[in-house]
Amino acid sequence: MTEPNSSPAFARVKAWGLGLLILVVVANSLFPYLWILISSVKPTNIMYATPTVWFFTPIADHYLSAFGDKGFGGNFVNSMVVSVSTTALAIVVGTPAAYSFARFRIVASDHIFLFILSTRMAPVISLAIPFYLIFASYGLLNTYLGLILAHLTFNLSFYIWILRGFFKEIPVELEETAMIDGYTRWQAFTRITLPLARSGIVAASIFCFIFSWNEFLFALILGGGDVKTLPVVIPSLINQRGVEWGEIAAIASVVILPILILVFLVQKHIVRGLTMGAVKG
Amino acid sequence: MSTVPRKPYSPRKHALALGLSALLGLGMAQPALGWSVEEAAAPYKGSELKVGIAFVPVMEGLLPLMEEFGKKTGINVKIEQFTHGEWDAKGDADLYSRTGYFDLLMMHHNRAQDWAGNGHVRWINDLMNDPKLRDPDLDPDDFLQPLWDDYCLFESGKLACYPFMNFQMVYWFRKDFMEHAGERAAFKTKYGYDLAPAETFAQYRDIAEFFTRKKGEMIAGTILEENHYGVGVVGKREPSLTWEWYNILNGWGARVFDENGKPSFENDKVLAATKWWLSLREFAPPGVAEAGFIDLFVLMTKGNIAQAIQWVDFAFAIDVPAISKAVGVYSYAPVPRREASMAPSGWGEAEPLVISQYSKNPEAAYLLMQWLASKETNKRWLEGPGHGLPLRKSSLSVPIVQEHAVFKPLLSSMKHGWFDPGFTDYIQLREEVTIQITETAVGNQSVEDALAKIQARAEKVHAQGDINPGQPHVNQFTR
Amino acid sequence: MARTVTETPRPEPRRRFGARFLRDGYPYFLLSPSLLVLLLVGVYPFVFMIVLSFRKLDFRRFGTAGDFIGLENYRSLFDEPVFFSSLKTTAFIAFTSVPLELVLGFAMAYLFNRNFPLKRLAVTITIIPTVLAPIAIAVMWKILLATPWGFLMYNVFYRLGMFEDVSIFGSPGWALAAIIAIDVWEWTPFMFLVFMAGLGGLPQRPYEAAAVDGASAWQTFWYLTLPLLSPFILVMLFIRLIDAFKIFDTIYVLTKGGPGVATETISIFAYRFNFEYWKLGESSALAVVIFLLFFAVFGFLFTQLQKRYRIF
Repeated sequence: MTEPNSSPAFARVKAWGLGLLILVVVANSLFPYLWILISSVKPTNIMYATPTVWFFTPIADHYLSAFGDKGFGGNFVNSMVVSVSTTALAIVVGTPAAYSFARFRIVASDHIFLFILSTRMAPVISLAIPFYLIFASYGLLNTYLGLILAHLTFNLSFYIWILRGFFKEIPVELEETAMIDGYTRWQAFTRITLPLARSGIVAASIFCFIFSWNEFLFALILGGGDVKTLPVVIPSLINQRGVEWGEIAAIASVVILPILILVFLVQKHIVRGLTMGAVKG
Repeated sequence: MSTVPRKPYSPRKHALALGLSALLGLGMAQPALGWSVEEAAAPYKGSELKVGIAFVPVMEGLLPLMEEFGKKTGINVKIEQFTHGEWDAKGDADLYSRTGYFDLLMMHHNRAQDWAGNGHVRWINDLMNDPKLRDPDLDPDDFLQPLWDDYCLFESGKLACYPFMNFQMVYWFRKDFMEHAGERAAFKTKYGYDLAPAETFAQYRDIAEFFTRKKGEMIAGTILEENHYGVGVVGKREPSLTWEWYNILNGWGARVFDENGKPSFENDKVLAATKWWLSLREFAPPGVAEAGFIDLFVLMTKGNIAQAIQWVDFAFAIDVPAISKAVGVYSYAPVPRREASMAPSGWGEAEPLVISQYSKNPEAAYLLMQWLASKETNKRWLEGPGHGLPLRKSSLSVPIVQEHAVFKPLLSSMKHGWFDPGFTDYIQLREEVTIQITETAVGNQSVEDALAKIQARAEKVHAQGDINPGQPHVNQFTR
Repeated sequence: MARTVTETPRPEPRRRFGARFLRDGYPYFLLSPSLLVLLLVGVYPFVFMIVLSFRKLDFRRFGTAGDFIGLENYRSLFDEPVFFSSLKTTAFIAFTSVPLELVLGFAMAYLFNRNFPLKRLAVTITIIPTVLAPIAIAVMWKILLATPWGFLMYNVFYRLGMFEDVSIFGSPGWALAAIIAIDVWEWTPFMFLVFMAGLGGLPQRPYEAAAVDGASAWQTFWYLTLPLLSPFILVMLFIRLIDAFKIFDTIYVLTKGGPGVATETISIFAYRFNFEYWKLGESSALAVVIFLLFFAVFGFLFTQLQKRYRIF
């Protein structure tokens, strides 16, 4: 099976060409991050200098100030708590729901499904005040639970969307066979289907985590001193001392690491997870 | 004038307050030593006070002082800090929904009518006159005017707060350039008068023109590594645009409200002042249209802006070597005006702490508020490492206030400048101004069109809400 | 699990299955926690907001919803010229950036759909823009593109003689272009990752068959890959479009909707009316109008596609 115009030379040129393209794509994402890293150790008084000051002695001040004096490490913890919890809840509550949609004939299922999607459609800004008022009357302001619930609105719909498609692609016969063999519905679900759905769950939950981790508006309005997440502290670094870009960069470079590590580790699951193609036997 | 007779300074109110305090002073036969904040706070020991503020670096010196209050009294003071925009949203939400999450809130003065006029602020007259709570050393007359009359006192003598944060805008200039012999000679040759900090707008413009130079030219004996600009202006669509505009209008002698308190943006003086102000951009950096006041400050720290109208508290940051390349080269003067015979201009914004109507701990809140406004605390704040802002006449003797060049112009701006007005729906008007001016600046419409639209919005707002000066508050644009 | 597996994604057995379990109500049991949560946190505030849109609100004074005033809020909303321009601007931004993200993301995924050394690392790095906090991205681009001291401006654009007299965020046209470009930079990796997954999960057999039949790369792509992936592409397009209409963070930090109202999107407009003016009536009316528009457009598309192709 040879292609008409292949030759070792052509193949090599093609390989180099593709390699170059890949490098360009990676560089496009890498260089800004490198620049952020560099900014995080660059003194503020030369930060905006033109001509650009290329060589300088790195300083740890921005990191020390952000995570030491200002205690943004605490905000990191808050972000973690909220994001992990909302993701966990989305998984626990959303997986059975997605399964139902995929498997069962539900009255007006398409309409309910559209409704679930539509909870994402309203501009978040307009919802913020109703949320605030409702939360205020239930004492949910400045609590982890409140913020987690608020994040669930967009995470749950996304999660169910993705996972339903995935469940639909797992053949029903597998479960039927299991039940003929004596498994109950629930056992068939947990022992057969769920493991196969593992990749989809991992993939969808990573995205939920990312959305929650970076979310700004609800965290600002519904949170408070106790549950201030990391994105919310960033605007406070633009103040009467100028734009404290060094510290913003320090925070940004640290904040992104957990997600990058996570993505690196579970990459093969994500790749397999979001597919709508067939499962390989 | 407006229907309610309005005087910025009412001798009768003043006499009443004086009389009351005198009575109280006499009533408390014991000497001042008898009152201490610890004793006064004893019944509230262990309670919690939640304070919401919009953080500004100059406040850093106050935070340890607030903690000290907490330690002295045993009251648990929890401070939550936000940026200005965020605090507006949160503070509004907390009060309008009557949640009562915060006990003490920092009130941006442009919300004075919305907050205090609508009953969300607990008046402190009764607390102030309670002998158990009142610090005999409070001395309300010692507060700088017009902070007391215009910010703390509301109609019928109701008191909302004590002065807390008060910012003013002053004229910044590069004193190293102005002192340079070579520059002085060249300037005199070109313009015919001595180089000095501008007192009039004409001088402001001349100096701007003079110091706008290209990369490679000389300035004050050094060769420029990049372009240099004679003036820094803001142009971004944000509130700072209006602050600068009002500085110019005030200095021009233009009025935006007529004698009957009705908006009047479409008059010759406003037109001329606005056109002149926009023409200054010729000598400003190219990124003006995207620069807000903080971006302007970043440019100033790079050292290539000769003049600007900027806030006082930035002066404490410009001389910090870690942040700025322009250390020790700026000095300050009152904002210029159209003619030397007129009063200088300025612009101010006060952000006092108020007690929420829905607070469950108003007495403790009052004690903290009073303590922060006391003579001693104000002095200590000013003397602290991050500097502070003077609230009292007695603080004017603090060395830093005597020595640092920014404080004299600050007082001048306080005396002559307009302040952020507090009437209802002012924010809508402010937003409209930013939209129309930025539209004009990119060339989509003329200044006349812009003013017409601003006038239309002002009239719409006037029809809806309470824009009438003196209701309940002084309209700062009519000073 | 020794059964052979079907290859085509057609859920025919559904009917049989459904008949067996419908009587048990089991599906509803599984579904109910989700629905409950969504009802509480998704619907309740939304209904509240709809109610607000019909009431005369003087929230600053009374703290409660006032009298019923019918469509007054909607009328006063339509009176604001910025309302219509914000709709236009938002649509412009969304319908320009999302297709670009789609095409670029897909191309990137196609490019990466082969084995090469350090692939895992490369993929991880490539998705950095999507994973960075949007607020940090906004500030970053400000510092890169500020006139005249932005890092990119000074070192790249000025050297190339571009933007010499132009302030990007201060010019209506350029500001809009910049916002779109930043959005594309930020979200293309999202599409990339998603399509990587899609491509990676495609069945092998049809491709082997196509190769045996002598199909060219282009034919394989056009007649095999694209049709197999189209349901997936449509789902992602939906999700991304809906989110694109809500763009806020970048614009708020960089231009606040200016200059004039050139970059004022629905969210900025809503922010003003909500948090600055406290005109909750108009702001709620705005949200309802947007929702209805979305629902009409996307709902229609959704039901059409579902009817014809059973995609979702």
